[in-house]
Amino acid sequence: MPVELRIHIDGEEHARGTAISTTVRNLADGEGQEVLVLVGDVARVQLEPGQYLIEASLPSGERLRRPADLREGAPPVDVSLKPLRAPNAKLSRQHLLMPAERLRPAPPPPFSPLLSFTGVAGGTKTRVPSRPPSSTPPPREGHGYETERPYEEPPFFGALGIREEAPLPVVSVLWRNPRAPDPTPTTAALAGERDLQDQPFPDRLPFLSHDGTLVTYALPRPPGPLPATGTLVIRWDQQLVLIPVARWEGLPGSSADARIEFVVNLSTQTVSAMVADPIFGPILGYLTSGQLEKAAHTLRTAVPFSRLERDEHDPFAAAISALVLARTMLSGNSEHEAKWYEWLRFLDKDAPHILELIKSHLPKVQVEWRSWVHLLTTWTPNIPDTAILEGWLRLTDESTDTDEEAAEALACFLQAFQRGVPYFSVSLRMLLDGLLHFDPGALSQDQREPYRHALRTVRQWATWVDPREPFTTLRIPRED
Amino acid sequence: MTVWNFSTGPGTHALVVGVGRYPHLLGGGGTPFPDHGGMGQLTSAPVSATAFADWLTSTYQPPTHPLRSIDVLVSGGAPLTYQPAVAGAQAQVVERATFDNFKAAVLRWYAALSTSPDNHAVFYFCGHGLAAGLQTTLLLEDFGDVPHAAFAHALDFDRFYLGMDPCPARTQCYFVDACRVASRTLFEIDTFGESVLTPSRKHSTPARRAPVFYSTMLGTQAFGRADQPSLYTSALLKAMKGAGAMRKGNAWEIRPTTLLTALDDLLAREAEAAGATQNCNANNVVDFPFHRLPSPPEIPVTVSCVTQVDLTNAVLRVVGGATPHEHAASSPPWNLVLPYGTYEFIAAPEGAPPDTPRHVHTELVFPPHTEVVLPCP
Repeated sequence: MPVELRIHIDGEEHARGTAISTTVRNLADGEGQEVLVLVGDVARVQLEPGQYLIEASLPSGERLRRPADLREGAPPVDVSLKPLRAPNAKLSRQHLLMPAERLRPAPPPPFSPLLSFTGVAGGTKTRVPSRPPSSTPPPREGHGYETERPYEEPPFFGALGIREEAPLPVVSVLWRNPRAPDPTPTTAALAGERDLQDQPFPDRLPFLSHDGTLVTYALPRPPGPLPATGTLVIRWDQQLVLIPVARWEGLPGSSADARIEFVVNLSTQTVSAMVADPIFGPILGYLTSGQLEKAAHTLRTAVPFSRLERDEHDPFAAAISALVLARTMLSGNSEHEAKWYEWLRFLDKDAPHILELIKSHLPKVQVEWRSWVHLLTTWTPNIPDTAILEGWLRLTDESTDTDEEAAEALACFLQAFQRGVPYFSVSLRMLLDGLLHFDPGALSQDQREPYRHALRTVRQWATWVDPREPFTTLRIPRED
Repeated sequence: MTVWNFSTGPGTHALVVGVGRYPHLLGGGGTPFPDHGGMGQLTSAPVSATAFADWLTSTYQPPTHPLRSIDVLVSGGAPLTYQPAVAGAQAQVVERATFDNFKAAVLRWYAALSTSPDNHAVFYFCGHGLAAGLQTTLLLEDFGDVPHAAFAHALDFDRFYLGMDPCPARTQCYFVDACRVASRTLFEIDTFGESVLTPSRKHSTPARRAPVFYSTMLGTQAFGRADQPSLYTSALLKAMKGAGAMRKGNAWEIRPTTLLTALDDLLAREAEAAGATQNCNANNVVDFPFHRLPSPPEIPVTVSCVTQVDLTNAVLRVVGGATPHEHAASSPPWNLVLPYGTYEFIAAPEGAPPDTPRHVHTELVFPPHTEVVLPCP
């Protein structure tokens, strides 16, 4: 006789509804099942009597665990999980989605502030020793470049180590009309680098909250009635941070009007952006942190495919979904085919030629997901991420292995490059890997130079990208 | 050629590389490479590679893919003679990890893996590494011996990884223990080294299962201890004892998803204890049984108290499992390693009378790590 297990994840009012993929594992045989728990709600599962371990994995990397003993004929068993990392009162759900180090002050430097300093003449600023003092642990042997480099000067004032009040960065937003034939706004911003670095912007953003370390902002409504994409531009003394984002239109009936929020950590000079959508925020967080199975489970459980199949809904939600789908289908885990089967519906009326090409060679589910991603690419002519997905589809299409098909894949990647900096950091990795598949020496004369240009630029983006961030966050040293 | 072939048939083929000696980097004795970037000699890398090879040959026990061969390249101060912990395996002087030797070893490894789609590949590298954004370059012993061809003897790991995609063995596991600190030189030169294998223009099908476990995040350093295994390799080998395990039926298996969780936790602890900060990172993590434990998993346990006022010098007693365990008098937190199971944790001040209230808590010890917080009496 099954016994009811009731799982609850505790959360503040503003974090309610955040979807957390939770594993319920039978301790006798190790078998587990995934349950989606919404913060603040109770998820009910009927289980055979036995001992279980309930483990919730947050996109932030935190794991919440409790055992549960379900006995025959016993009343329902309640398991309550509470995130240990207490949210900053000024934050909404960032503590559930972002790594903890992004939301706290920088750790102290690897030396004691009471040890000797070399004062800088004429001022109170101090310089740390070029090597750790002898009382610190012996220097570790680094396997890399910086082992012998002097430590850089930390932002310290005075021998007592009083931290200088960090100045607020200049935060602006540049708007673009996504339906205009422009590349992503970040590309435009990169092209106008000098302006970005030296000139003031008219629409400097006001912050929502500020506690001395963390400053939160929300993407404002774009000017004018058309939907728009924007680039967040954060200027520090030493670096420029660019984040392409789109206004989150939301899905009908679920997460309409979710905001893009971002947190500037003055202590670490990092910027973390998230979509304050209780479903897609976690999905994007799981995808970025490498918890692919969790991303897939959350998507399949919480988002009916019917909500994503047309472009009048949010194309960015659809793009994230397609990324999750593609990454799992290409992961080598064959169990995913069956799991996605029920989620997808057959679509063929808009791209019969593509379907005809692959239908005869692939299982039905392969046809369905590939056709959907193809349609998504055509719906979103200005989103680089969908063109990257299309290129990957062509690279993995079993039905053809021709020069033409390879050329088409390359064309997709070059088109994605023309569309600009991908919105999501996962896509940027895929674009780089996609381009690396090609040998420039084997390309035609026409393709060779565009390819080299694209690869050089994408490598530059990849040099700047912060891979821990879900949105493509480019941290550009000012001297660059 | 230092390859040991243990048996035939589908199974695991491993390539283990440790590079500690770099003649053209600081302290190497050869003509210094102009753009050495401060890199020098590593005593930890050869020890780490040997420790990993020892684990593979003595303990590694995948459910269906026994170790069929291992190829070892090590560049240390002196030539290394290595004998795998396999009955009948002969000791051999290990080849040095020069680029040519590495290239030959990769081609041997690839050929061995190509004999069956059911083969599994294991790749381990410990040595210097560089990065430019998302791309990682690994340095072989003779890196820098051609002054005007900076990355002639370095491995473009990302292209090498893509080049392994056509390999018939569809299950591959990579462990990269090297720094990933950004290198301006790397970017400016616009090359990331040689890839040995060229990526095909198409992804092969079925999609391969090929997780990569990096020792550190992009843009950050990896650390070693002089003449000891690196922090990452130490954490990896501890995770293989049980922290990275999950239960499947009556067996405990190390799987990539659970291994990553455990590795992340253990590495952070190793680094903290050494006064460093190091967090691992992984790509393309997908589940499959990598290793089966021969005995119940050994799991790290941290025991602390809600309040420590009366426990500045306390005795911790652990009841459960085969024998009760008593921890020497000390202050919490206590760091233990216990087999899977349910235990009663009891703490009391040292020398306290028998009727003194104890801090008592019962907890299930389960991978990857269990934290026990003792309540007030």
